[in-house]
Amino acid sequence: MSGLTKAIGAVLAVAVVAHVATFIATPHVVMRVAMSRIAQQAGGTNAPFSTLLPTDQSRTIVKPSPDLVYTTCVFDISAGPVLISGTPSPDYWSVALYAANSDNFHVMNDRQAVGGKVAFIIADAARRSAIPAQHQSLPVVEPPTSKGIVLFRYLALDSVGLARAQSAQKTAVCSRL
Amino acid sequence: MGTVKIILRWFGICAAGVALGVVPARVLSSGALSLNTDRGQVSIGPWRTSLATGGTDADMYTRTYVALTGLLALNRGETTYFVATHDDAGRPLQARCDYDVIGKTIDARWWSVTAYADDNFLIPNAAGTFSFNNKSARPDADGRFALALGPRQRPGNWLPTGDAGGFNLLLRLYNPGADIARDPRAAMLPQIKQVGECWS
Repeated sequence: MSGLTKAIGAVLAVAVVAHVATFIATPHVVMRVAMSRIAQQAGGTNAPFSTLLPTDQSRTIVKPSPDLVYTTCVFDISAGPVLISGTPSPDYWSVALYAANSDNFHVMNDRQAVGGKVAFIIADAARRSAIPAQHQSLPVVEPPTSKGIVLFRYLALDSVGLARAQSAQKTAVCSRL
Repeated sequence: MGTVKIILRWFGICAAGVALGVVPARVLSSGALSLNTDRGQVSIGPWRTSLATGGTDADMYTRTYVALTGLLALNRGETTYFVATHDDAGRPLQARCDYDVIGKTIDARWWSVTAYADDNFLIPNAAGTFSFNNKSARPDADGRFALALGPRQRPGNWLPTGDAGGFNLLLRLYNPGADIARDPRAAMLPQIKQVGECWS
C-alpha cells in the first residue's frame, strides 16, 4: 500500500468519525444551551418558569407556537427525585419530558389526566427509595438522562382561552423532593 | 521522516478529515439536511414530515435536524408536524411574494399554520399576526378555508411575511385523527399557490 493510499484512508477514517461525532453531539449542545437559558430564567433547575403568548421577540426556543403559552423547567434528578404536577386547562394541555439529547421520551395530555390533575415523579432506579412516603403512590417516569426539560403547553385560541391557560399555568409544579 | 514532518502529516490528515466529515453549520441548519434523512420521510405536495420527529427512535440526522429547526417537538402520537419550504410549483417560499394557502379543515383536535423566518422564529409584523388556526381561519360550512400570505395586506385571512427573505410554514396537527396518527399520508393538506408576480 503506497503512502498516498494510506493517507487517503486515514483522511476518510477521520472524516467518518468527525461526521458521526458532529451529528451525535449537536442535539446535546443545542439542548445544553436551551437548558441554560431556561434555568437562568427560572432561577435554577427544578423550578418552573411561565411565559406569555410568544411574539417575534420570543427567542428562547425555535419555532414557538403563537397559539400556546408555555411553562418550562429544567429537571435535574442527580440530587434526588423531582415532582411534576399541574392542573390541565379546559382546552388542549400537555406536559412533555425531553432528554438531554432532545428526545421526547414522555408526554401526557389533558385527556389522560385522572381526576382533573396530573402528578408524577421523575426518578431513576437508584433513587426511587428517596421518594417520600406521601408521594409513593404516584407514577414514576425514569428518564434516559439525569437532566432534561419539562414543557407544559396550554392552548390559548382567544382571550377567554388565554385567561384559562394563564390560570392553569399557576398550578404547574416542578420541584425536587 | 523527521518528527516535525510526521506531526505535520497527521495534522494535515486530521484537518482534511474533519473538514470532509463535519457538515458546515449553514448546511446543517438548512432544510437540505432533512432530505438526507430518507428514513421515515413523508411528503404530501410541498409539505414534509418525519415519522421519527421528537421520538426516541429518531436517527442522528433526524434528531439533529429537529434540534436545530424545531427543538422540543412532540412525538408523532401527540402531534404531527408538516413543514413547507416551497410552494406547489417547487419554488422556495419568499417573503416578497404573495401566496394563497387553500385547504379543507384537517382531522385533528386543533391545527394551526404558522409562518417562520429563515431563523425559525416568528416574523415581525405590525399586525401582530403570526398564524391561523382551525378557529381563526374561519372555515366555511364545508370546512374550506383560505389564507392570504404576503408582505402587503390582502383581504381575508392575511398572514404577513414581512421582509423575512425566505420563510417556511409549519402546520401543526395536535391530537390528529386516528388515520393520520397511524399514517400521516392520510392527511389532506392545503395547497400553496403563488399569486401573481413577486414584489420587487
